[in-house]
Amino acid sequence: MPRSSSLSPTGPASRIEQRNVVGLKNYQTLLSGYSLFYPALQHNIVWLLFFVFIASPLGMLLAVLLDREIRGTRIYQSIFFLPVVLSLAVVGFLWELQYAPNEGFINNVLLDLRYKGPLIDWLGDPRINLFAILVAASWRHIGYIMVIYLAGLKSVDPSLREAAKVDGATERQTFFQVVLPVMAPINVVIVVITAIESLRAFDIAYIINRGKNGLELLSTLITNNSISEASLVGFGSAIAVVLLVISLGPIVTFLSQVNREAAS
Amino acid sequence: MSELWPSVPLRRPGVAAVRVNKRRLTPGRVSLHAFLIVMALAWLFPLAWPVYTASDRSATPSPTATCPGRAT
Repeated sequence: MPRSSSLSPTGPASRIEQRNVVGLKNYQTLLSGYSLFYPALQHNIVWLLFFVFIASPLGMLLAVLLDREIRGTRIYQSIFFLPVVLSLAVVGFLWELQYAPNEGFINNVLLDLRYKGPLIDWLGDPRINLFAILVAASWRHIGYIMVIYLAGLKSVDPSLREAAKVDGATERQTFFQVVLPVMAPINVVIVVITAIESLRAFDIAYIINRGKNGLELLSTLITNNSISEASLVGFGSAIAVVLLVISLGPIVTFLSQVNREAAS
Repeated sequence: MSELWPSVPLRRPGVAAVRVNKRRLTPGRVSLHAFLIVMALAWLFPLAWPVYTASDRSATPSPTATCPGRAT
């Protein structure tokens, strides 16, 4: 982190040992003249919104469903948690097999369903590939959120639910009016973890097409500028500083929440 | 001992009723299991598809094939 902030004011073509201080020029170029910055920022925001409004609520729903005393709940939990043990790079490889234009599962199913149009290039079409990898990343993220939320649900005092049941509350009322307020700290942690996961998304986009052609993210721009053939270390560091500033919001919220819980 | 006997028939129906309640199949429980089974299968599929593709005969390289770029 200190290295990035100290390198960001160096010239685009400078080497580390030949420092060429350019002040805020890299930031100026980034914000005004670099055509990939705003699409990458937009993709990060789409990633965040998808995770916050679709993937995380689905993980929470699974946790709530599996928190009931149903048969086989451990098996379901294991299945949903299974993708979490894989790295996002491996998840990328697995989903490349699903999305492959000719041999992929999805296009084969479409052909079996007598789909007449041209084969869909799920990962090559810049209009849809971001959503394709969001589905792949959600496959892993949902299991992660499910486990965290399930752990929180298990820690809720059972007497609260029993009291609500005695008072005649339905299962839905019990969840929304008793359990959810009790789970407020876990909810904050989940939102913050989701935000951090969205901002640090890198490996799956990089595995699929090196973070280009519709999959630009801030993290892939850092890599593509810093350690590519162009070797724009200073410019890449400027992007890293911007990402750091954006990430500080959720990180500070998360740490203050954890510290508050530890203090109470 | 004789004091314990009367409690046995009194408790048994209660226990039995709880067990029956737990195993009774309600529409809600059936739909919950159906949803979870569909989700579980969907979750396993990305792992199962590579296994299926790996057993596909057309994916078997010919015995004379060499790695790309390797000198023969």
